Amino acid sequence: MDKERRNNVELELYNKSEVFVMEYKDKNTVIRKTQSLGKELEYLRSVSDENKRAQKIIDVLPQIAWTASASGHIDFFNKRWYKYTGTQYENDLNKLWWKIICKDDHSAMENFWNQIKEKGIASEIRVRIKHDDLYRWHLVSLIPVKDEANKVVNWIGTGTDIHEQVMQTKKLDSRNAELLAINHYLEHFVHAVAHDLRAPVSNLRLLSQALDKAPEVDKAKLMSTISSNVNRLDETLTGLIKVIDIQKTDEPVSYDVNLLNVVNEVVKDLEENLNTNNTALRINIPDGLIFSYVKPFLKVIISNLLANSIEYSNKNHSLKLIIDAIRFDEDTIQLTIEDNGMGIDLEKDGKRLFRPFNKLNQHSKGMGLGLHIVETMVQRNGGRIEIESELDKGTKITLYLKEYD
Amino acid sequence: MNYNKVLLIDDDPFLIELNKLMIEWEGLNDYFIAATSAEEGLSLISDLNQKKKATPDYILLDLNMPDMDGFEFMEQYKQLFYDGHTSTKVIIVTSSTRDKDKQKALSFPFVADYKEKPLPDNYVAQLISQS
Repeated sequence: MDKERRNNVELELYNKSEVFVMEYKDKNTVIRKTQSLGKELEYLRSVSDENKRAQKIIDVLPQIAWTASASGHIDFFNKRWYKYTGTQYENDLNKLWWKIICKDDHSAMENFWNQIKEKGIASEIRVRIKHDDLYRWHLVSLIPVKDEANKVVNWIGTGTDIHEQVMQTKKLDSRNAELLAINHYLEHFVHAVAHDLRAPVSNLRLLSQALDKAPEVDKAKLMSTISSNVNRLDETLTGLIKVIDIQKTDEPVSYDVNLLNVVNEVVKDLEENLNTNNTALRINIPDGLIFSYVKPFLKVIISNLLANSIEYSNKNHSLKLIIDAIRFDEDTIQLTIEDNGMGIDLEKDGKRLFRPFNKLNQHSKGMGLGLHIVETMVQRNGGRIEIESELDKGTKITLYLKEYD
Repeated sequence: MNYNKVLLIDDDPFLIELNKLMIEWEGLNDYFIAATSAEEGLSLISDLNQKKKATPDYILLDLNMPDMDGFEFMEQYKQLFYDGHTSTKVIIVTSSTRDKDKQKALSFPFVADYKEKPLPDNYVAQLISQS
């Protein structure tokens, strides 16, 4: 007995003139069984010849390609396919197909297949296909081949490697999200700066109006207030320039940085200040702690926090600084900086701690920008800051730094 | 009757002092009080209420203040002192140019106006004279 199986139809030939035609709903269910002669056989042969012709053509294509029956059962892979996926012919080609598709894409692929089979239209989907033991993004196109009655006879599928494009798009998407975050930050920062510039300017305007009317006795008093407003303006402008300098960076957006190296670089920059304060410094960071971050930001974050510890150290004893870091989870680094300095009254000042141009101590040398800068840089890609502090005991700042994609 | 017709709330001590001085020149000191924080403003109003004294006709309120800002002040004021028809009007005096600040401020029922800083030098004196 010869057996031919094409698409969902199986022929069983007896004496070359009799035929049983069995149409399969799926692998195991027969939905029709008829005894037939010549005509039906001819039709089925012609279908299978066409299929064979199609297979011959796609066998020489330089890209991976295959054919499948109308019901979606794969019946042929081209040579390129076997070479590309590093697989060998198996009886059940469907099984072979699912083996090389990334498991995360199985349900999407299955849904896609069911949808287009029902509609009988050409369509495309992006799935990951195994190549050289790595899953790479491919554009899988499926085209129906139809007979004269517009009935789908079989399907031709092709796969094109689009991994680089997909990766590029992902990079662009993440860059785009980063730019949006920068935009958002700038909007808030500009508003804070504008407010701080406007306040002294509007004071000066009001002052000039008042000076016209002021009785002689008050004029000198008013004049003396001019300088405090001008100083305030100057401070804001200096702070603004400082922030612009930090934002200016020609370095790549993000790349692998060794946290211990960066901390050591910052410590070296601040060596003089640390020595003046007779600082006992302990660093507990594993040497191999490498993560993807914007290095200039990391330096600014760490140096601002260390500078704060130095600035607000307790004058009654020498400064103790502990810097710890661990990998917190898959994409987060936990960095802790702890000091034994003056501490912060969180109940009183906690809320305005991160506001720009807000100095907790009016005699401080800084401009009240340090923590604001740290916060914006940490938060720009989803990180967060926790502060524990007690007056006269010290401050512990924990950063959860999110890795950049 | 002498009572505090205008309450100015602003965290800028310079602005408070300058306004006090200008009101003094007009001889209207009795009608004017000021607070350098939103909390102080709330406690001044509470004091007046407890002493059964008339509350100010106008509260000139800065928005951008540390600790409690102008919006938080208005939330508290609404809960504590506003009964739906109190005659006190709040006038926002701010250096904020943000439209959403303006919209948000004007959504409070007692906010009568939204002014950008600086106010004209005779503004407070005029408010006192009118009321």
